[in-house]
Amino acid sequence: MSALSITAEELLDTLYKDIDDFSLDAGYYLTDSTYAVPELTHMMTQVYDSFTKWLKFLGLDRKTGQKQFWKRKFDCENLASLYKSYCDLLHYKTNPLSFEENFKAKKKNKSDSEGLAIGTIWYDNSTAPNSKNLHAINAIITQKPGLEKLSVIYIEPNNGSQLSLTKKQKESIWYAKF
Amino acid sequence: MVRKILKKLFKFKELEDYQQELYPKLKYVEDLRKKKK
Repeated sequence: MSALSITAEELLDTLYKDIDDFSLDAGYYLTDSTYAVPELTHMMTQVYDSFTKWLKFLGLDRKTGQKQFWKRKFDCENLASLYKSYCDLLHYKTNPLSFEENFKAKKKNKSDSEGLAIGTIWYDNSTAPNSKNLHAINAIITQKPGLEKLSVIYIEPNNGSQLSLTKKQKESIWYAKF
Repeated sequence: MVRKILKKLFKFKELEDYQQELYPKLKYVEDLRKKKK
């Protein structure tokens, strides 16, 4: 089996299609040339479970009775950046061979994509008309079960749940990094 | 040998065991697109 790899242009195109009225002021940063597409169910179960163990290992565990990993000095954007870095680290550890080693060795990398199609996005989470509630979460470019086309799945790294962003919330995205 | 006994008796874990738990192998979407010739 070979892992699906998409170019930075294909990733950006998937993001554009997900948002009706794309803000021209938004900053979208794609820093790799190719991206491996992770399997959604695996990300939502085993990977999130390991992420919480890793947070505990780093000393960022929830206190007894606390539902959130956020802290005043380590809040949503810090946690979303850490989730992205953790997933990038898994991508590296799953595919540790260099180009030359992969070429020569009998054991091959699963994927040769430079990056993983998981990003951090910042948006306005408010629902009231004249208020602002800025928030940072993660986005995964992947296939929904049973569908061939690529979709954007929004993830809350604080509890591992999948989020449905409204049209207004999607259009409020002003920063995204993949 | 001592390590094996320790692992069995006291559920002693080595760094590699922790790493396997903390860093699972990623699973990817299979590429079903036709390759260009």
